Amino acid sequence: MAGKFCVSLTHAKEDGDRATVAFVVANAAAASEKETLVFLSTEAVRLAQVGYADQIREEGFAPMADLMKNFVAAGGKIFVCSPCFKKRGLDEAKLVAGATIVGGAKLVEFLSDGTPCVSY
Amino acid sequence: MKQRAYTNELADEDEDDVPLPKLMSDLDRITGTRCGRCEHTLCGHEGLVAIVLGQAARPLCIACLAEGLGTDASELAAGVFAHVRRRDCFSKACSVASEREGFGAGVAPVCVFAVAAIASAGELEPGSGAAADRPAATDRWDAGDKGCGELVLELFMRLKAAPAGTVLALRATDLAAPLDIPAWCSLTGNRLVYAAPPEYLIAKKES
Repeated sequence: MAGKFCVSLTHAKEDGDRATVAFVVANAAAASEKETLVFLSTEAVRLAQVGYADQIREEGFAPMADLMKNFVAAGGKIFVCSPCFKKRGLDEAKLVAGATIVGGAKLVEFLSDGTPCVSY
Repeated sequence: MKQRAYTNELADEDEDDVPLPKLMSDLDRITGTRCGRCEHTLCGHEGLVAIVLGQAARPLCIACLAEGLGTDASELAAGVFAHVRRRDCFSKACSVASEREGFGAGVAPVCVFAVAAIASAGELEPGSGAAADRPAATDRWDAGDKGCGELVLELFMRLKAAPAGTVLALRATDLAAPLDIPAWCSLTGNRLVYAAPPEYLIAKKES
């Protein structure tokens, strides 16, 4: 069944609850055969660094690293906001699998046909 | 089974409380046995529904009971549990069943209400769940209490990797699963053959 779905996330370790729930919902969308994008901006861009997600394990949920790995395995894509990434001095040679550094135009493009987006 | 405005009749007929030992003995006997019509396995709450409606001798599941009474399954479930809450003996029996099945006190037992909702929506015909009519499961997965995105993601991956013709028997005890599983099946086109939470039978769609 066609259809796209976007999850916008702005938190990382400083709000592990929100960050986790964002990926759980993204997994639900990917599992429902939606072409799903997680857009990371502000603090959330830290999740795109290899090893960072290991620090987030919320009670009642799978560890963040597993959620992200499963999301990508199910066909999900992760976009990482370029200026947010640079501002935090992060390393583009150490991106997690499935993540691509992009600018705002790619988010606008993904949503411009009316694709829904939920924000965390 | 005759049609009747069961809640009115119950209130008039059964003024005295049923002694709890007798009630629990009937409940224990019925719990885990099969519906007399469609062979769905009855949980404690469904056993209580059968007892309340005077069907303890040949208990049926909520969907078959509703069809026999010519009434809507969801309305029947709501009416019976409203009556249960008014009666001390039945309330106590319901609490025991809830505790055994991991439901909090005061939470509507999803096992009955979700199946009733599916039956009401016409997605599950009473009697069509008969074991003889159902395709046999080719695979089994006990998802435990996994829920939300984690449940459907793993379900998606398992069915995607499975061969054509797969019929998956899923056990999922998450409280939201009775609503999420039918929604997921509808979104993906995999067929929900049978649902009696926490048990589900899902046929992989044809490519």
